[in-house]
Amino acid sequence: MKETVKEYDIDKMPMTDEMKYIKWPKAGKVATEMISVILGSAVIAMLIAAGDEIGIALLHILFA
Amino acid sequence: MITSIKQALTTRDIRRKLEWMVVIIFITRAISMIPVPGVDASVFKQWITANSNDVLNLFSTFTGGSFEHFSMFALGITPFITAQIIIQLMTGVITPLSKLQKKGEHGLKIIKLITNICAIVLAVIQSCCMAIGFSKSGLIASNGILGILLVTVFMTAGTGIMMWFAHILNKKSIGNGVSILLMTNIISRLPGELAMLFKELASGEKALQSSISVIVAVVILAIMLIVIIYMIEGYHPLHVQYSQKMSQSGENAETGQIPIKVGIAGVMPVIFASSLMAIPQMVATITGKGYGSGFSKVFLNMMSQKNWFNGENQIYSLGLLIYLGLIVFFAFFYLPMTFNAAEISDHIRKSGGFIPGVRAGEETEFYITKISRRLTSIGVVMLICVTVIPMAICGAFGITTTINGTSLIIVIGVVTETIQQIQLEMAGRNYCGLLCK
Repeated sequence: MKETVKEYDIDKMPMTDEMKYIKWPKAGKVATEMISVILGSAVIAMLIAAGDEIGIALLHILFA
Repeated sequence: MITSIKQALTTRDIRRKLEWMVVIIFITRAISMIPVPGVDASVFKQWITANSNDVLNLFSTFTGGSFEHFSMFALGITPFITAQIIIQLMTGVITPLSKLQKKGEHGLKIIKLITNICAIVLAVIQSCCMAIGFSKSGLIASNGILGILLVTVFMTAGTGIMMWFAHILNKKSIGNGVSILLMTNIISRLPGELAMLFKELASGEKALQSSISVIVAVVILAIMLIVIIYMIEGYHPLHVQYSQKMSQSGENAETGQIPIKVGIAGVMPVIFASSLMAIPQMVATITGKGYGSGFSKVFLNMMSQKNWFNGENQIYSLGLLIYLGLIVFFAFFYLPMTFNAAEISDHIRKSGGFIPGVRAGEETEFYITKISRRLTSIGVVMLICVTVIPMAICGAFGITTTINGTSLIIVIGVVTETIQQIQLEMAGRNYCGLLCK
């Protein structure tokens, strides 16, 4: 028996509702993520500031 | 959340990983403040302020001020990121590279080595060009070959050290090393930029007007954060049914989900578009010829983001249209490189799965491609909203700030990814399976 090979065209493929579905995060999760990002960034910014200060102090010691 | 933080800090392994992260960030920042020998950092800073343009702003953001101090980390981790992008793009075009990628762990190791070599070569080229250019402008004290060689060696070594730090972070810490270093650089400028922005907004003559401006800025920033979180977290759950694997009861076939993210291409289309538009300005700055006159002046002003919302010269707004077109183009151009529908389709088939109602093979591949293209369309609209709308507001009201959507997407993406990895590690530690039952 001969096997029929079907050729597909991506543009002709219908867009079904199933394909359109997107799962968005819930408001609670967005709020938690926002707080996490703000807190995380603040902690890292403080760490960076401390590192920068040490660097400037080193610079003064090395090139004084 | 506080309980999770407490739990993470009390778990020895996670605490040790976080300690590694802290130490590396700390060392990176300390070295970033020390300039390369033979360079006067204050003179260099003055030159940057005088020649400020899009490309220098973008570069300063990604190097976290190391470039402004002309430290040995002046190039940052950017040559490695560029090398990664080049190799990723080449893998799709050059057959031996794509074969290596399919070879498994050994092949990936070789690709990693090629990427590292490519990054060092790029660092040498970039630092040498910079050293020659800045030496001609008189920014480097010793003008001879020795001075150029010294700067090149120091800057290349700086990139090498950054790559090593990224490797240590990958091995001994949590999250992706390169992303963490990039995020650190971006965050280092955020407090200063935010303070400057709010100072500028609050400097109005009327108190009420100033307060309203500050509130509006906070609201816009919050909206940007929310849109980015939606873009990063939104996904399409691709339902897959596995015929070979049976559920525990042995009756029904197991079903699973493959999440396809809305922002598949991430921030790359914006970086590609900004970099491409910055090339003419960069050439004009390095050659020291300025914007010239006639067509070249109009063209270079069109390429500069600060002129797009200039009411006096509306012709420059054409640059915005080119920018939007480039973002859309790169989003779809980069999609097959980051998301391989054929590979996913093949993986589903090999694991004995299928998408209900879709034939295996080519039809599945097209089905996944179609979904990814639709998600990219939505992602691009969100990306444009986050990057262009704040730019338009700043341009219309004459506010100067380097805080942009691109930086925020990177920061939010890396912070959420790192937090998710910490949670995953903790879940793995707390999981005791059947033994606890």
